[in-house]
Amino acid sequence: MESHVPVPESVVRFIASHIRSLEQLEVLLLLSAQPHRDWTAADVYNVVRSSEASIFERLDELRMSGLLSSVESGGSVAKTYRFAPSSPELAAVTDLLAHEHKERRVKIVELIYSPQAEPLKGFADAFKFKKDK
Amino acid sequence: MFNQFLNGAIMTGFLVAGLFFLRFNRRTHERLFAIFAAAFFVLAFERIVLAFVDPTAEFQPYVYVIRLMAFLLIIIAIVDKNRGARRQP
Amino acid sequence: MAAFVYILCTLTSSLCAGLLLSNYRRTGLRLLFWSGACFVCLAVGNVLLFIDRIILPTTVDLTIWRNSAALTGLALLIYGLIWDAERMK
Repeated sequence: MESHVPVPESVVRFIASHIRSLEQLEVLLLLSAQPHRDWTAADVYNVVRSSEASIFERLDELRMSGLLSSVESGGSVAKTYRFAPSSPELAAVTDLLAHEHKERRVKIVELIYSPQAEPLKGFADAFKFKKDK
Repeated sequence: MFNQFLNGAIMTGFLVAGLFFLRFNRRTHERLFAIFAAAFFVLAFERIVLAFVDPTAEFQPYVYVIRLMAFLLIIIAIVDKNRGARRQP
Repeated sequence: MAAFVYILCTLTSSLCAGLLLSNYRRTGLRLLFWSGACFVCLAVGNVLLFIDRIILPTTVDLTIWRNSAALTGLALLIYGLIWDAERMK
């Protein structure tokens, strides 16, 4: 049953600033669930079956956001990633995100694509007289 | 003199804003942005005309018809946005 | 005829300002604030134009105030278009 407690503000802000796509969310959740494991792009692809190329991009994006660390060993093919948030706040909010995602996946996914992520869509929608919510 | 300076700055402002809207249209394929871009370009054009027309000339008020065109475009954009919204399932 | 133009421009800018600002209150999107503020300034400029041309045509010249309003609005809009139109990555 959906609780009426709103999603924590820190999670909302985290999604708005760090999560651009559902694929990225799934990759993050996968790696954060097993923080002591090193993953290659192929490993991740075996679970999140989108495309190896985009998996690679997502992993890199998450690394640049300070959520993952990576180790190169013998070229990009053998590059491994591991969940390693660069600050305790990031660790905490990722934890909270994982919890919220388990409790209400749809709401979390909606937040990824909400107008906060797309100001231009919000601008265009502002001129609609009948809002669809 | 200062008014001419302001006029030039305003023209550039409308031009830049119009270019932004054009770019947004390219990126989002949202027609509203294209129409807003056109409206802002028209407003920029109005400033050029205003700079060269003598403020005391008899037909000067008609220059503001250009402004009217721009705002009509904006109205069209809004109407178009709402017509499209209703057609979507 | 001129009065009609000025009034329509004022109404259209006010409508845009109203739509943008009320949606800003609803969603908190900063771009809506900047663009809404811009249209407020444009509306003010159009009101001043109406006053300048129709109500007090010979007593005062509000040109510099009209231009300042338009320039202020555009500065706000361009600021918003540059910084708040896209999510920073």
